[in-house]
Amino acid sequence: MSFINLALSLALIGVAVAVAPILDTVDRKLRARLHSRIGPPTLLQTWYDIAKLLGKEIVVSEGGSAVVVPLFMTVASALLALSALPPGVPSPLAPLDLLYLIMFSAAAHASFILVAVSSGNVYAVIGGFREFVLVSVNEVAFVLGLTAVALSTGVLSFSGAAYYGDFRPIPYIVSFALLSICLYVSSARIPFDLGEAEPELASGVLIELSGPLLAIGIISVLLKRFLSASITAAAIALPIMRYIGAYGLSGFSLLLALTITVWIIHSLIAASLGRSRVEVAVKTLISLYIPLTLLAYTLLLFGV
Amino acid sequence: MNQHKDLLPQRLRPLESLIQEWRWIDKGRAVMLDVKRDKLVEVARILYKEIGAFFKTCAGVDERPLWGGFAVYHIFGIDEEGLDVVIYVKIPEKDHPWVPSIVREVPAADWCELEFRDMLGIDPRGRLTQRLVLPDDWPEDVKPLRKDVPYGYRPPRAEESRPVEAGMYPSGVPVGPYHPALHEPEYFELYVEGEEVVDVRYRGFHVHRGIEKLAESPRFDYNKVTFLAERICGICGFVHSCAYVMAVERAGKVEVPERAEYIRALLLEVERLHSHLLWLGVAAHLLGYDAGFMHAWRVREKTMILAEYLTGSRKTYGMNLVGGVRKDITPEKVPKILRVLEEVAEGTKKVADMIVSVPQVRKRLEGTGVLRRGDAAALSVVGPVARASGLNRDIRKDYPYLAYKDVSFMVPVYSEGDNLSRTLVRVEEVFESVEIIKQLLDRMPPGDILNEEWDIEPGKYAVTSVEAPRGEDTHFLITGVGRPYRWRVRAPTYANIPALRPMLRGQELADAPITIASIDPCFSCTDRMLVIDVRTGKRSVLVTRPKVRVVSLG
Amino acid sequence: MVKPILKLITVAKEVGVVTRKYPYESPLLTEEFRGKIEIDASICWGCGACVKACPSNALTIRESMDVMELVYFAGRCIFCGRCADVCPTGAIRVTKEFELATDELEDLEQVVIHRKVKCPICGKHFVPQPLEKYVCEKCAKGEIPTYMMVCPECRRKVGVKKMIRCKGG
Ligand code: SF4
Ligand code: SF4
Repeated sequence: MSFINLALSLALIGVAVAVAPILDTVDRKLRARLHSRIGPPTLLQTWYDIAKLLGKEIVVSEGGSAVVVPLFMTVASALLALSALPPGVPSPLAPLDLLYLIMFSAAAHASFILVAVSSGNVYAVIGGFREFVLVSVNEVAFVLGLTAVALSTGVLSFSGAAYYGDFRPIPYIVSFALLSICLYVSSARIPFDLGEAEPELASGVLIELSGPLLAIGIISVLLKRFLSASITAAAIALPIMRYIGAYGLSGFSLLLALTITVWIIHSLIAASLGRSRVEVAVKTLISLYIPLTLLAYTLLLFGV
Repeated sequence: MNQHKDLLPQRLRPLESLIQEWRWIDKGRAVMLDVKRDKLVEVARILYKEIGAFFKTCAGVDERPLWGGFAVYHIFGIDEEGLDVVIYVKIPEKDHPWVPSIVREVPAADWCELEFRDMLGIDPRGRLTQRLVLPDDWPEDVKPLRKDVPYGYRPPRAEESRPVEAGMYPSGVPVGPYHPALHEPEYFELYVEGEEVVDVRYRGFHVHRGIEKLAESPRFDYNKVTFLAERICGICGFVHSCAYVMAVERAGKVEVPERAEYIRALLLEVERLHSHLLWLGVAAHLLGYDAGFMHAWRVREKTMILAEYLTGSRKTYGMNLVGGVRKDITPEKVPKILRVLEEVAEGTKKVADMIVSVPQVRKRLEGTGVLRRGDAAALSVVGPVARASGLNRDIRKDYPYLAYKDVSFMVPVYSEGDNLSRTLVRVEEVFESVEIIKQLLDRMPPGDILNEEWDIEPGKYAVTSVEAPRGEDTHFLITGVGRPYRWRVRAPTYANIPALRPMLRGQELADAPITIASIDPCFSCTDRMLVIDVRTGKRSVLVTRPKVRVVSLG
Repeated sequence: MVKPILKLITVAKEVGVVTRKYPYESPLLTEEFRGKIEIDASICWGCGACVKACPSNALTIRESMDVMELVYFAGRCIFCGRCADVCPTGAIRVTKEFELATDELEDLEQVVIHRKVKCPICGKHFVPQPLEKYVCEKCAKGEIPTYMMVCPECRRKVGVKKMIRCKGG
């Protein structure tokens, strides 16, 4: 049993690494279609891009060597956070999976910002600063949303909820709404790609990176996106697992299918919107988060 | 009072006692006033402040081969009369020529005075000066636009690069010379407090190409310069080529067939279509809305193909020659043109509607980069920038040229002066251009398109202005033997860059690129001239709490 | 948020895909497109009219003792077609070719070589042969001037001599 658990959890991580770049190509392809363009010729395009970057020489810019550690920390934290999700079986991190999830995803964002700041580049600092403002607001809401989701299942663990959760539909839907917005924001897509917005005089993390380091930077961005999509997917999958009994491999495929769906919805939204400005974004988000949080917790409190 | 003076236009009467001589030039479209050096400042003041003329540009000329000295021409325009006024100042000194500076009275003359100082060594007295156009390692004693400097002259390469001025400026975000938000090599320095821009510094001339000198060189003739003029700008090249040939034709009294004038006007409007749609796309891109970018350019592509169909080339049409155009618009082509125009109008409507309906885009265009009417007028801004700030200025109406007197169209004017107004002005102009082209096609007279029988007398003048997509493009020309004696170009962006300062101050940093882009800057055009903000003294005072350190002023 | 998404989808659906898989598919060119030029060496006289009209110095003349070369360097060409306009023989054709990228500079060059006519008196070479032939043909109808095949310098000398002889002799 525990062997299968471990195997499927590892499989999820493996699939994330393999699939995230392909999903990115899907993203690009979809965007191209909305732009009336042909777009990348194959689904493996992002992989080819990454492979090409990996084949280049490593150039570390002056003062930029500090970026390496946080860069790998971002990748590692994103992967660890993924292992907190229930891929059809209890996560190896259950019953503390939610705690780990919060911890590692926060670590992924934090180290991402650290990459920006430690690169010492003025554009990266601007980008990192914008990212920091956004992430600090968003992480709070994320924790509140995730907890609210868990509370409305009656179990403070995703893995647990999939097996013996007792879902209260209305609070669940409200807290899911809150959570999914947070997760869209943390996927760093338009309108919230503030840290990486080159035409806006910010260039976040990637500006000082090139070659293999840039490849890892891209992978870390994609993994963070995959994480956001799969947490959203997990929150949708939980009641299905619980009431239809989709466990094991079918649960795994359910989670994956939902992740892909969420990813595509995310890219559809991103393709149709413009970029926000940091203070506008924060204001908009706060004005969304506060009422949703209040609503979710009131509902929970009054036992609807 | 002699008879000639009686004819001095009413508006210029107050100058009568200050000028020595005057005459009509440029087929009666302009007046040239001979002014003594000591009266120059006074004449400029009255013209600018009392008569209310706009300043266009000034040009220094090495006239030693003609009569032994230098000369400076200050060019003003009185919009309401459609009249250009050229002040001609003779400078007798051969060695250290100077003129009094008029900057105090006419701030817009700031840059071109510095340019003739660099290029001809004519010293504008009574103002702060600094080298601007020429690179730092250019030898001090070589004044490139003087006639005795060969056009192919290349100074020895400097071995050492100049240290960056990092120490002088405590804080700022360097933007450029190369930056993804800029499409041409330029350099902006934005001073910020947190995310708010408190001041701006600009440095251009990274792509100065010495075009004016080249046009005077023996390897060019009147016709060849047309192609050179077209290459001043990659977006509105036809504007420059038209302004140039019109200048030659007017100065040299060359007859131009009417049909050719219609074809030129038509192509100018095709160029405006492509330029405005290009801008719309870039604006959407800068606001992170790439779908708008791609779709605007998809519509624009139709105008590019149309241009190729009419001229043989997508850009740099190569259509103009002195005396007319090279390719006719045959009747078979008309239905296709009309079809493309329909598609462009419809496509633009949809795409523009799509772009401004995106909440982020709208929010970031509305109320950002505001240029108030007063500032706009004081800085003599031109084109859509002026029209979005409530100034009703359009050369096509104010100084009708080519076939524009025969068509009716509206000039969109907005009063808000923000980025959204500038966007809407351009979008509306797309529809107006479509209408203009239709009218031109409808009314195009039959006949020849090119007059090749001409002979141009040296020593004649012309000032031409053409409404480029970005505003007024002014050319000043003195004819010579076989080629222009002096040809001076002032691109529209030159007049609009100073407006960036009031627009950017107090803005969010993230909106700086769209605001810079909102004047639709064309740096390559501008850079054949000079641009800089010299009022730098305030900078260190304003930047009180530096939050971002400059790492390198690359 | 939903409105922009729907608007975009509608527009994208209406328009379809407009890009092409260039260079695997043909580029979008109209029949008016001006590309690089081609000089038909068999028609060209070597008169140099095109060289004089070329705004960008893409056409130049290289002279050596007994040949005159008309050199077209596409790297400088601005594809204006002025040369074709002025060519009296129609030797220049404007093609639609524009994909000229190459790593061999010579690929961008076309050279038309004309032998020059040798002066029977001093042995110096002067005008390109075809030009001379053209002039001869033109004159053939009338009387062929005596010194037509002689270089301008010798012609002058001979002329002067003749004059002196006439006057002073
Ligand atoms: S190509 Fe034509 S114009 Fe040029 S040299 Fe030959 S004949 Fe003369
Ligand atoms: S096309 Fe124009 S630039 Fe090219 S060779 Fe002919 S005249 Fe010269």
